[in-house]
Amino acid sequence: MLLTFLPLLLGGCTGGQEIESSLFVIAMAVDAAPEGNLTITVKALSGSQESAASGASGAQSEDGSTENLEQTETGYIVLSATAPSCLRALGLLGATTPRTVNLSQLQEIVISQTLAETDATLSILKQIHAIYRANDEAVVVVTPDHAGDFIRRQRAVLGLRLSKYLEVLFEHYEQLDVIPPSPNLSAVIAAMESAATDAAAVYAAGNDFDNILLLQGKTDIDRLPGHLPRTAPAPNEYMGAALFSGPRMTGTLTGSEVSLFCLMTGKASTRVSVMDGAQYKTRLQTRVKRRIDPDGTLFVSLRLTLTLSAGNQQRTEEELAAEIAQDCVNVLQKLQAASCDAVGFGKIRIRAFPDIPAWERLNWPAQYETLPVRVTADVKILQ
Amino acid sequence: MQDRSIEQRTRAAYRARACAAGVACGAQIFAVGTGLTVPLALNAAYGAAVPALLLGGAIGLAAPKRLSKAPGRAFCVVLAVSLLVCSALLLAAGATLAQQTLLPNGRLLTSLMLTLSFALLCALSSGTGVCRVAFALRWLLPAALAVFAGLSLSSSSMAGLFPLLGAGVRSLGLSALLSLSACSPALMLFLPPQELETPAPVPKGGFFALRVGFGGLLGALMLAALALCNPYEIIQGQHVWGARMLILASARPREGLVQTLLILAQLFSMLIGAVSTLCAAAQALETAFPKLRFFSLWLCAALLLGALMATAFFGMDVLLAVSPFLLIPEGILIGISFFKKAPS
Repeated sequence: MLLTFLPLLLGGCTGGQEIESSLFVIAMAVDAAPEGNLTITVKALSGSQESAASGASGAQSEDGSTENLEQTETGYIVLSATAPSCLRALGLLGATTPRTVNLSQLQEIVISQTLAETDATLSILKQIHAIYRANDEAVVVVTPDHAGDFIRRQRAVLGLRLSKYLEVLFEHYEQLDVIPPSPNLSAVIAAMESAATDAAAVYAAGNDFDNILLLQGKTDIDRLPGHLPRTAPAPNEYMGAALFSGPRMTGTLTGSEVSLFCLMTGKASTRVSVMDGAQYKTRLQTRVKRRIDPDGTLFVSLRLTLTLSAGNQQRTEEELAAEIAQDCVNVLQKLQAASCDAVGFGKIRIRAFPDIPAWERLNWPAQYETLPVRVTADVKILQ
Repeated sequence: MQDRSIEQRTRAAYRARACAAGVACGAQIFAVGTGLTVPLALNAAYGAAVPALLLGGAIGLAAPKRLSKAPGRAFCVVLAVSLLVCSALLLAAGATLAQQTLLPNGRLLTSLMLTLSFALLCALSSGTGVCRVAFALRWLLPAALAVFAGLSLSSSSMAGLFPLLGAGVRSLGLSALLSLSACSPALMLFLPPQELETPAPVPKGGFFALRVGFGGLLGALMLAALALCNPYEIIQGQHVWGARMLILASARPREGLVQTLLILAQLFSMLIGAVSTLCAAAQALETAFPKLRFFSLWLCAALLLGALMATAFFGMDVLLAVSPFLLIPEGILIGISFFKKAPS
């Protein structure tokens, strides 16, 4: 009986932390700084002591690192620190506040594109994840802007809770299939470390309100972020995917390309497509079949149901199917050009190898880029 | 009527001990697997546990032959030492798992001493209690482990199984050799249950082999779950024994409650294994040296304390390095049990 009940007491042995003594970080940004340094910016729930310190104030530490504290909106503070490594910058951040940096409530990690295009991304994410025990579900975002400014601009459009706002925001975009299916921290790290698959993170940018709105794609979402209507309340726009080859960012997908990518991975939820002025809701009828043919062709087979929700059907089912298949081929070729196997063909290829040395001799990333692709789509239209 | 009741109680005592042996074997296969074979065979470590399972079955089959003979002093001493090493290994595995998961801010030495105190407290009232707990949980514990491990996997987990032979045939073979002794806790079946004071009829070999095999199989399945969680690249990067025991799909955010329950179930199995092997070691020592009747458990606890202190000082590798050598006493004891004739 003792044996049965004593383990239940183990929960009381973990290092307890008072809520008041923790600095709960909601969003984190990582930027490259001069001389090989990194700037970490965090947006955290303000406590009584920090909220008193309004406005920006800077300080220089002994080792040449700098830290900064500012209040950008009610209830939140923004802190930043520059140091030669991510861990030292986070340590410095911890030193600027009387509270312990706590990443358990982290909702997003924003990395600047300049930094994402280097090999440092994986080690930064791993350090944040493993050493600071960051929330596994935090979404990894890549922005062409300054990442620190990106999270400074971020506001809870409705209500005051930025954390809830971000949670709802990502859920909404995932349902629209305009961001990749598994952009959370644990999945991105796992994909970056694996030789059989690659990662795809969310691509986001701030809107330039002074520019004239210019949409060049076939549909509203066939573009990269940064083009919201000029009256949009949210200054940041999330759309599309940042493609990684190993730890390094190598390309992007637009919103509509991401929705096709979701379709091919079998994780599309409510894709809406516009073809010839008619709007269709797309649903997968059966599981998506992915395989590698004996001649090495990367093959995807889709069975779709399109429900006409607005406009008139202009073309036959076969013609629409051919267009979807061609769009999917284009997306696969774009992924190949970026050397990003985010669809997971490597996971299929690895099955043919008896052991790891044989698999590693294949050099899958190099082979993947050169293989032909084929997509078949079987479409059924419901009026 | 009374004979029937005695027969039922005898059978229940053997059944409880067989259940404890099964749990201990499963826990040891998992502990040795994560400690020794996973770094070598990577995602194929579960395959390396199969020969150990067979050897565990052989111990189960040899048990009735052994139990029908009076054990000699040397036999009991070898048995006690083997079981003590198993107990130390399981305690160390439990301590390192607890330290990596439930007690991240604690020191390893504290965790080791806590688990030792815990094991000693449970062992004070003889090994009967822990065997009965193992019997009471014979369905619940495997079910809990299977369900929580299943919930910790992700939809894309199957990819973790490939390549099927892991780091290659040579690594797999070496791993199988290193983990061959992982069913050593089943050696406790060579001693009669402590509550049976008079010689009693012994069940058939299949009775023990089945339970040991089932327990060991669960340990191997948990190793397979580990392979399903992570691609081999991530397994290669895990350098801490306790961290390797964590069954959690790397691509999936951790569910706090499921993870805690799974870790508690894992810890529970290890502690049941450690306590039952500790009690069996004390019993073997007592049989070898009847004068030690009241001190055998304390002597075993003192030896365990020494082993765990050495582990805390030199690192876990010491105990892990010793574990493959358990195969030598294991082979000798099985050989003696199978082939040596009973004294007429």
